[in-house]
Amino acid sequence: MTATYTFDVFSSLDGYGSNTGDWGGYWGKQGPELLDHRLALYDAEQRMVLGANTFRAFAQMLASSTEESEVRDPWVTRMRNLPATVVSTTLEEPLDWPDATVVRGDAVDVVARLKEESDVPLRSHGSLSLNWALMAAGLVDRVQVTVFPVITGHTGLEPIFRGAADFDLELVESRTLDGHTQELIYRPTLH
Amino acid sequence: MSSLMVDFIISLDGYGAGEGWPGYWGMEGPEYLAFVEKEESDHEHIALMGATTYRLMSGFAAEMPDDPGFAAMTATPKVVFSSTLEAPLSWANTELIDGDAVEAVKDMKERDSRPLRTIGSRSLCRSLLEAGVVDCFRVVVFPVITGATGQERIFDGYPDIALDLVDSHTFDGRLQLLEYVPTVLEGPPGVGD
Repeated sequence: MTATYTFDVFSSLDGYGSNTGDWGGYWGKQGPELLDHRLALYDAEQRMVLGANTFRAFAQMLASSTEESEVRDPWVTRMRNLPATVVSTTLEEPLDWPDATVVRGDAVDVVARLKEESDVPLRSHGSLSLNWALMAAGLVDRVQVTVFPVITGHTGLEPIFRGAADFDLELVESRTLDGHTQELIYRPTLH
Repeated sequence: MSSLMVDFIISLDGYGAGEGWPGYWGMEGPEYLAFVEKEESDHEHIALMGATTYRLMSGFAAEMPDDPGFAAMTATPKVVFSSTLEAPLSWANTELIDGDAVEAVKDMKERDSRPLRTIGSRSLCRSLLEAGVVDCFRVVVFPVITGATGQERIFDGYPDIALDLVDSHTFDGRLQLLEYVPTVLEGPPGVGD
């Protein structure tokens, strides 16, 4: 029995993960249903798998945050307190993170081994290039995309699937949150 | 006053087609096809398109006159915006407008009560969206990612747009319809809010 691996990612309708504009976290579209749903997702026992860039971005946002910052939302705090594996050749321990381990080496090998050994499900947030490599290797069991109701043709950055291969997807779950945000969970198969 | 809907079918990563993939990416199902057929058989709307889509679709309609989908499109009143095509157009029930599409559409919305809908026509749709004359933006998200072979990305060149979700529906357990009311933003949000 191998552990399930979920690639969890936020997106604009046009497929960007972030932006140069002043949209703010969640593109300013967070609501109570989304935040409750996120907390419930991260409440379960699981291990985070993060790439170095996403890890650095999180650490930096947390360091410069105030009590009101979105990066201090309860689900993010919960995520930060989960055990984490950071795949990186450059980061050095100790990390400023409650329970994070840096693992060197090829992400595909690292995650293939984790899936064999982990007693709890694995979940990644963001970490695009890491997850493209894992998807191509057939290691991603679920792609969970939260589509926020915005198009960022002008200011969009980091297309969430720009470096991915071609996949057939099986829609596993679909839900609308706060009447405007769509969560879509798919099982990907290399095309 | 009439309303204008722009609609597209897209891969999850926002492409309109993929090299080597079949039509509908091979993912269509009976519920979705019934929905498409119902929409096509509604002759009470006007279909808008640009020259590229006109050339493609009128060619298909000429080759397959007995196909129910193309027969329905032939029967539907159509307007083509183009400065390169020349009247008269061969496809029945098609009017050619050689002028500014945005102004023409504004005028049609004022004068006509029939709903307006686009067919394909990425650059026309982009112009209409930018001009703020689109009342409804609808996508059906097909369950594929085409990171390697995707073509015709729908959203290239778009401005930033805030969306208000008005409808959401799953067809055949796998195709996700999302219908929004778009509001074009002058600049990044937050500035001057």
